[in-house]
Amino acid sequence: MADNKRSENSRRRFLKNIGTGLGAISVGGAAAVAGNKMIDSSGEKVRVLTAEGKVLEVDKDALKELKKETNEKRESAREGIPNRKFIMVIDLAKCANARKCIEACQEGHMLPKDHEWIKLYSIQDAEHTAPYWLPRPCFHCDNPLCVSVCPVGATYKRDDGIVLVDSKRCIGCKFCMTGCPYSARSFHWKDPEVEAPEDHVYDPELNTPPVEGTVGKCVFCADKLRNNELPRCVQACPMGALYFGDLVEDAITNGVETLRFSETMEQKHGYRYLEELGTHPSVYYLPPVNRLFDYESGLDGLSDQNRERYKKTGPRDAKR
Amino acid sequence: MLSMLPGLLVLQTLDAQDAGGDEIQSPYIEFKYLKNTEGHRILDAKIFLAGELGLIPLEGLPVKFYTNYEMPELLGEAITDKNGVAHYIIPENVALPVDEDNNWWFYAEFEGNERYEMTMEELTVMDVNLRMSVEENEGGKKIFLEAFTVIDSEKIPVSNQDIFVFVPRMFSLLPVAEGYFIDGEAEVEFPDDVPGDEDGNLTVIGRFNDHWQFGNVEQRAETTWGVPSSHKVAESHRALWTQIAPRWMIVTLTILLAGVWGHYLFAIISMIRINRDGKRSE
Amino acid sequence: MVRITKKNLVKELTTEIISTSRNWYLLFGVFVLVWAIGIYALIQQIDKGHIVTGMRDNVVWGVYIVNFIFFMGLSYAGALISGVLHLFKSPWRAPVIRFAELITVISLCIGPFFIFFCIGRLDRLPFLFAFPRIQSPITWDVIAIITDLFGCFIFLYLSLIEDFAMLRDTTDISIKPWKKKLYRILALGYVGTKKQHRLLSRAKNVMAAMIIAIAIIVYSVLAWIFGVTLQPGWHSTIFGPYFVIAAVFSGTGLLIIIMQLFRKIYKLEKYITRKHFVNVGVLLLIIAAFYGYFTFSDYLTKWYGSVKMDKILIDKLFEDYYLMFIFANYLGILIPLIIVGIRKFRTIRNIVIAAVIALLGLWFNRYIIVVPTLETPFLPVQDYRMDFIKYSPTWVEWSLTAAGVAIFGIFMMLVSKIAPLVSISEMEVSEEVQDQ
Repeated sequence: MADNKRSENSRRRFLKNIGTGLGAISVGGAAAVAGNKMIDSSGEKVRVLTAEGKVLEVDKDALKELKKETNEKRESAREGIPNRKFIMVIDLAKCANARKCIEACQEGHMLPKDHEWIKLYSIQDAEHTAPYWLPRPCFHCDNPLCVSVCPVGATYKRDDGIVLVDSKRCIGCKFCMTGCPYSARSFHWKDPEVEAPEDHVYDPELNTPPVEGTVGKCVFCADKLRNNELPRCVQACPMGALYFGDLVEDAITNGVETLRFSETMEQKHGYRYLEELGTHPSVYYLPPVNRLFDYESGLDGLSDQNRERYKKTGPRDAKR
Repeated sequence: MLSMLPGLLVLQTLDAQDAGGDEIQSPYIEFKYLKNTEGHRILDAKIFLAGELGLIPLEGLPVKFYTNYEMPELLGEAITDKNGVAHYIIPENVALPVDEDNNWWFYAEFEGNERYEMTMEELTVMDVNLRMSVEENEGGKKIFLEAFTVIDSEKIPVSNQDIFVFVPRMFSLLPVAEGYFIDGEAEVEFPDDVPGDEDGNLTVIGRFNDHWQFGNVEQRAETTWGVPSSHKVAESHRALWTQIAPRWMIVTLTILLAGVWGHYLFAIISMIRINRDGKRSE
Repeated sequence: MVRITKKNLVKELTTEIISTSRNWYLLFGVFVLVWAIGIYALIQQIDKGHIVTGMRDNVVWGVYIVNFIFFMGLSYAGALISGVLHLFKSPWRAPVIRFAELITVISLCIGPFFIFFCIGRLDRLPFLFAFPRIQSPITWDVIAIITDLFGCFIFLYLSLIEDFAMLRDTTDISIKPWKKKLYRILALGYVGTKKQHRLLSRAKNVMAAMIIAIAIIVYSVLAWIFGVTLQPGWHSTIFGPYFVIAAVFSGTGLLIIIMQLFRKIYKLEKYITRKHFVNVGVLLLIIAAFYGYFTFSDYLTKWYGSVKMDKILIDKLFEDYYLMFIFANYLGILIPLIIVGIRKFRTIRNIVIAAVIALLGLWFNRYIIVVPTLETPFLPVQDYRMDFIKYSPTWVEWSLTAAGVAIFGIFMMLVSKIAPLVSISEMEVSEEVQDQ
């Protein structure tokens, strides 16, 4: 989480500053000689430690170095985690529109409050069927139309199944947004007014900070997966409705219980949303049978704005 | 160490005091015991805040670990890591006192600072010795487990207790089989269809998991019982969404473009020839 | 030397090249003003972000893309009239081909700008050429538009060579020296020798065939930008041919309007007669019939099958977009059909009215293809913000639309100062034929 990363950076910075006295002499022989420069640099800038363990002095050279690292990171993000195929299973019987998944995602990715990479829909499939709550992250389809139509290759599908967006290449044509049948992408229409820390190396796996004029979407928290941690929405769900796992390992977990994916699919008849579109999503749903919470509890405690959303506006929206 | 005792007792009976700062928060402690496959006894104390969006682990806080019900003795100290877990391994030579029920008592205490209130947690554990052996033959894959406790130097076999067999997965442990101890022994049949790594290697874990009496006790064994599993997408794979386009697309595009621009070239050459002819005529 | 035997041709068709009236400056000024307002709107958009437009997360393509398709469609005037009629060697085409070719080239220049307005990061536009993915319909579109622009420009230039040569050589009218020098360069040394004539006519034939082919390809590719997505209303197998027909329709309509406009402004009544209007009007009628047939076919199959999403879309068209739908798909087709079809109604004025209605109807047709589909995605729009539920274009988008039209006018007016708006050489050929 943002808290963690900041404290981690500051701790490293703190420790490095202690050892910097020695480091400075070895690293900056030239800098030590030009005594003025040294004082200037350490006076107005902080020595920082990047994720790759390099010591950086934030000045002109560092900016170039930062750019080089950013480009390396953008390259390496195109390769997935080897021998993994990530999947998510969402148990609709447990979803009660708590919306904590949305908040955790927004906080982790520095998103403005009206940007929702995971969205909660109120769906009623037919006139005489019962309404239910549908959390919809990006499905990271195996036949991703959004990737097929991108003219510059800013969005790509990795071997581990995750579809990412490179905010530094996206030209903002929005073709991918019309290509996605699940409306999973959002566009930054105005300046998000979010500042990234000075030493920030842009990482498509975390995809922060948001960039005006580019497209953003759920990234299955690929940055957390590198540390064997569950995505933010999965961790935040108070009902444990979101399960995440690896198809190769045949295991999914919501942080509390771990299940075998194939067994869960068999026992609970898992399915994918709008399967007939041929997109082959990586997100499976468990039907809302034997629900833990009834539909109405999802309407309790909603802000007026959110209550406004779910007023029936079309034939597919659930009745209240 | 003994001078800590009165303080400890006082802290136990008093509620957390308001330190006067407006930011002071009350963290929680989750305290667990693990006896790992090498027999090390490990105490894990996780300190976290109950935030709106889930648990917020607290890093860098010192946690003191004590033992003994009647007179708590300090075992050691650890600092919580970035996951909020203070990890303390009880040295092997330390003999832990037991109470009348043959249980060990542990305490984890965070003494508090200006940002967070003090908090502590206690734990009782009965020591159990777990042995595991794995065997594969025509009958299938079998795991033999043996568990016994020791009371007054006497081996007491464990009975009427569940034990689970897990395999480690990316984020957690997956339970794949279950056994039941009768007279200190349990036999578990291991399923055939558990995915392992590319070569079929699989770590098998027999574990008392969050057991009410024994805590967490596990034994691990490396086997080749996993179904070899991998996920590789061929570099040469071409589709609509890959980096390189399908061959027929490239061919079609080249033919179309060559055809059209070839004609343009013809027109341009005609214009050049007109120009040259005009110069000649002058 | 290239001489035109009919002196009156030269005098009457070069009035704009010789002198500029005060009205010209006035009109030009108006166009420049409208264009300047558009530039201001563009600066606002670049500065504040696309939030100043009406586009939001569901309707991500709005008036800009509608204009893009519309302007690209206008380019069919050249492909059809110039290209097809050239290959058929229709004698009556002579006065109108220059307009047609100019419309083509100018609208091809304007169209892509509307995509640029829709792109979020204009500074990264070169990425389209640096990192192209040929699986993407937008890449096909970039390649096709560049090819089309190049080809149409070559075709226009080829048809201007003889006129430039004539203007270079003529002594019947007085042309400013710098323009004479320009014509000398642009004429490429054409003096009318047999060899040159042969080269020129062969090149023109080849290019005429090419621009027909490339025009069909360009517009189909544009249609497939919509057709290959899964969105209800867009994922239609008929979109390629449908867009091509609609483009020919809009090109023909604009041609009629331009013919009348320039006929009145530059006093070309002698050269562009009622016969021309009737002929192009008949083209309009045929195309309108085809266009109506395609539209009917598309909606009939959608409505009859009533696949869930198609039904929701059609309901929306008849509820929220009722007036637009009636205007575009009923009036826009039936009125041209009636006016040109019934002999009694075939006056120049009526045909021009029919063309205006057809053109407006086509703009609305593009609008109801692009916007309602985006307002009815597979997953229902559940939002509390009205601007995310319903698309309403803002002043920025309308200003830039007006600026696009203004630039069209500006280019036309500027070109009229250099090149004759009616092809003098073609007129001579056709009048020779007539005399015989």
